Amino acid sequence: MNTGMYAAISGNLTAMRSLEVISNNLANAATPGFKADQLRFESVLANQNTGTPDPVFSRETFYTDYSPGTILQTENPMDLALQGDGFFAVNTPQGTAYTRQGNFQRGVGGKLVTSEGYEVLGKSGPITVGGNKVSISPNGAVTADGVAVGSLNIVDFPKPYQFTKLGAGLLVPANPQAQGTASTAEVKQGYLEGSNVNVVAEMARMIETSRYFETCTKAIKSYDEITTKAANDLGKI
Amino acid sequence: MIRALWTAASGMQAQQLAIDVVANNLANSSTTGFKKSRADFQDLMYQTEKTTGAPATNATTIPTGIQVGLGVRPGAVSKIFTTGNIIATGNELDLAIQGDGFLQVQQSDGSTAYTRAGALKRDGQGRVVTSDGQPIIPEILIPSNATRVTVGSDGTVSVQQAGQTAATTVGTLQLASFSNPSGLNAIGKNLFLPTDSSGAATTGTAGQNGLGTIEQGFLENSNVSVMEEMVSMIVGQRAYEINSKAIQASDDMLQQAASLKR
Repeated sequence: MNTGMYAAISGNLTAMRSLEVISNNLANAATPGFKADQLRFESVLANQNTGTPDPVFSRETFYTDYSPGTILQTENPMDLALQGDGFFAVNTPQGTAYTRQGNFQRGVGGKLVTSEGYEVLGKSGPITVGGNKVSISPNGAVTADGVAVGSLNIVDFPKPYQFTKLGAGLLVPANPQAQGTASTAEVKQGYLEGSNVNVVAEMARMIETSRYFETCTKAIKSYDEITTKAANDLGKI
Repeated sequence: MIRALWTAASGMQAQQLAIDVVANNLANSSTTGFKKSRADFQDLMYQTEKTTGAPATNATTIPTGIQVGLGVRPGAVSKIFTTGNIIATGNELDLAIQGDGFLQVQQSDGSTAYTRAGALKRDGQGRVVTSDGQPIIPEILIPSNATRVTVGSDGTVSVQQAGQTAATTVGTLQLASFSNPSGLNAIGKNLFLPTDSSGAATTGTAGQNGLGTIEQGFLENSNVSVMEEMVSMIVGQRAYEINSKAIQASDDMLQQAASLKR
């Protein structure tokens, strides 16, 4: 009965999901190194195989926009931005994760850590930054008071990137066996990469989504009215 | 749907913190030796609805999964230790540190705090103290008949006493440095305490081992750039507004859903 109503409901559900993604992008409009997510809809025939004229449902495709964010000067020597494609490697309890959120700190014992406290990995393990002046060259070599203490392990992956987001700016490859290749990205000390959320586009998407939801709701109401008529009026003599 | 409401609310909360930090920076834009703070954010956890790489059919896999993020949270508020503007005051006990380094201050509980606010004074006993009356370490006593105090760039303090032609050395100021000053714990009154993140203080003579030199008759002003803070404030305010719009949109949609049932 009223299969069109279910098609309209599927529209409502995807609009809700879409608004969740938009809200998350907007909430992270000021998160360093954040990469915006997008939902796109495509129509699918629910029962292609059986050939029954069932309603057209919509299906989401999800994708993350890995374009670079704006690079901002912060003047903090532990803030690192990557110019070009690549990721910092970070040691987490779930294994090596990757991030472009370069607001690092000096952790206990002088280890270079993320703001979550995870070790930032160099080419030969975690990096300890003692000394007073830490300087990091564009190719990722770290020196403390003029003494080389390691080199940041900056890696890139084949595109399109396939990552699972862990939160806190951390990404893990969808395929756990995936190995990164050395990246050509340039490290900029004293800079941070901002979020790549385009607020204007997100606002437009939000309006679009709200209207789409409204339209689907109207369609459901229409079906409801028709059914009401069928139930109440047709039976009247 | 409820997720979007909470996600946007987390965005509003985060922006509140950003504005709090900006407000404190602005309030201290002319505090001697003040170092500005910056709030950094992190995305919260994600709910995976469809796993990337999971098989869709026998022969194909899902190229990109679906992960819905749950908002944002503050990750860190870190101090930025750039040098503030150095202003000439002509006052003999106003000291600015040109370069890295902190003056050591004896707290009432005996512990040592660190400061870059060099607006020093002389107390009743002749000790060199901060504006709050806390003595500088190592203690320096200025005789009551001193007519002139001179502080050298390496921290040597000498006085000219009434009736004498030669200057007398009464002590030497030492500076302390940290490998990660951003990790210092600010306790107010321009004072900082060391933490695990900052590392322990290494003390030394001014001008040596990368420690800055001491400039007498100057003060280091706050390193807050009012223009920059105003821009951060606008960005924070708009981000707050935008997140509130997302809450409105979620609310509208919920209301419409509720109105389906007549």
